[in-house]
Amino acid sequence: MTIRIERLRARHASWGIDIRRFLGPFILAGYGLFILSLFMRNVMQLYINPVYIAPTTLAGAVLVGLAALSFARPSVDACNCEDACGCSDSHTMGLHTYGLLCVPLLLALLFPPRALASFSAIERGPQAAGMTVLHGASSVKRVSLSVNTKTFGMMDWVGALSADPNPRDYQGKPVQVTGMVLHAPGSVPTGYIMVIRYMVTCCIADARPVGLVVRDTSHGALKDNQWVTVTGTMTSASESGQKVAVVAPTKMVVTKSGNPYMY
Amino acid sequence: MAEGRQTGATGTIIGVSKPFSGSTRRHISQQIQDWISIFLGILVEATPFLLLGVVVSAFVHVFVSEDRLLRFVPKNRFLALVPALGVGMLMPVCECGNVAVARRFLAKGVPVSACVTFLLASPILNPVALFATATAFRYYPSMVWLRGGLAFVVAALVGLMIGQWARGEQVLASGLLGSPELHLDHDHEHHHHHGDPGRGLVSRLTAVGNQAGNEFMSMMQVLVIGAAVASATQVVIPRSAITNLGTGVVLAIVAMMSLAFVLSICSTVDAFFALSYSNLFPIPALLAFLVIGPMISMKSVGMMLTAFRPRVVLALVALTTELIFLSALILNLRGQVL
Repeated sequence: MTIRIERLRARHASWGIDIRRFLGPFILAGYGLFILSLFMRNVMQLYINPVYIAPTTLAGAVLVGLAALSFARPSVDACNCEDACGCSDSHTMGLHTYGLLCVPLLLALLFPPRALASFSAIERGPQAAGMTVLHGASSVKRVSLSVNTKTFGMMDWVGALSADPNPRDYQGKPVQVTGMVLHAPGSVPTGYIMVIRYMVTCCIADARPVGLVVRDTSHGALKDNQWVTVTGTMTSASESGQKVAVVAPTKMVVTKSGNPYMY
Repeated sequence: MAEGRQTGATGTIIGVSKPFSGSTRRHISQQIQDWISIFLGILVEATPFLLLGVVVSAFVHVFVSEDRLLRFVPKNRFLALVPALGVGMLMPVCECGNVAVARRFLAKGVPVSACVTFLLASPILNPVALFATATAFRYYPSMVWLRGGLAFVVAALVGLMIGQWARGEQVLASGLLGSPELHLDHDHEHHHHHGDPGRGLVSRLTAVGNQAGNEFMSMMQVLVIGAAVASATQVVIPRSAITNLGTGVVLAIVAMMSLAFVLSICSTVDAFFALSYSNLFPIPALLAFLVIGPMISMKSVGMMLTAFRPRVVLALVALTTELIFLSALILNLRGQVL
């Protein structure tokens, strides 16, 4: 009986070592494959600025390589390392640590990549171009008579209005922008909504909601998170005694959701 | 559209008899979904920097012996800071990567003051972070030397103070002290992974790979916790709750320092973020944001605990915060940067 118990203990102990030996490489591979899958599915930009896609993908590939290396290395017993410097460190990690490391992988499996919605815009405080000085917009186009503003995207408008918020300089200029609807009662004049996108410098942790103030011709029919393409002209409205640049739409078409990030 | 309004109204009516109304459920659901997105975003973004840090650390571990490393570190505690700052300037990584390297230096017997200085200064004094600051603050070029200078002073002072207060094993995290991955005892018999000329290059590179993989996981576990807390804070606390603090200079500095701690933004891009608050806060508050963020944040404090004992981390956080706050306040009072 005692011998059988000892055998069971020994078998259990050996399972423990094996599990730990393979869990580490398995998790490393998981992180690597998660990153590579984001790249393959072309959705990594829903988490980070595309500038960082190349180094991040490379890191994913390196992690898979490190996992393969760990799988291939001899077990602690075979290596005969008493203090196991570098070659058997994984057996010092508790199972709870592996569990913790699995959490992001499980979340990534269960929840497909999804862009931030209007909720985060409200939490972060939306910034209306022309009403707030917005720095960090990379492409600033000065509006002049020679510039055809029909070609302006959201980033161009944000840049232009940050450089020159005077609404008179934009009076009557044509606008066509696409973005997410946001009702921001405290941030824009009554009867107006915002059409926003997020500016991302590094990853979505630093995403800043910015957008244009648009007269709500739908009379409340448009809901937060809906995507619209607004066509119209620039005009002005009064907010707290100041004139600000707003869009007077001639057409607002609900469109399919897109990537809300501008990089 | 009318249908949409009907649904919303029904949701509200149902909500009377249920513990959570439809809008509350939607709110919680969006909160959780955005938390997951931000959480995974931080991890994905940090991975290459963390990996670079652990690979550098593993190379130092395997290829550089303690003796060789210590030959570059002067005995004088003030001069010992010079190589620490020099190495920091050459490491184009943010705070995610440099903790692993600082851990390695500690384990190799580099003085605590030099390790702390390296840890605090390198995310700011590296060329990528300084270039990003110069690009973002084109309208205020002095921000580059103000940021670099303050980071230098704070890192050196905190390093010297921590080094004076506690030495060697007194500061090391218990996990690091007992960990077989690191070697405090230079007399042990297991030299084959670090600097043994008898080992072939392939086996040493294999050791680098194994070491980097192990270290990546041990750093990743704290990064996961830090990222989870930082992203949860982002979806739970409205940003206006922090920024509305900043009515006076003192509160503005406190607000921006709190924001930096909560947001845990990478040091190579935080200048662009700070810029978006330049219309709300004075320059000293922005400077405090730019200096404290890379040194102390929700993300990095957890990682520091893998290298230092909790009371050392506490002292490090307190000293760094105090020094940055006082410096920003003095700069503001002297009117030099307004």
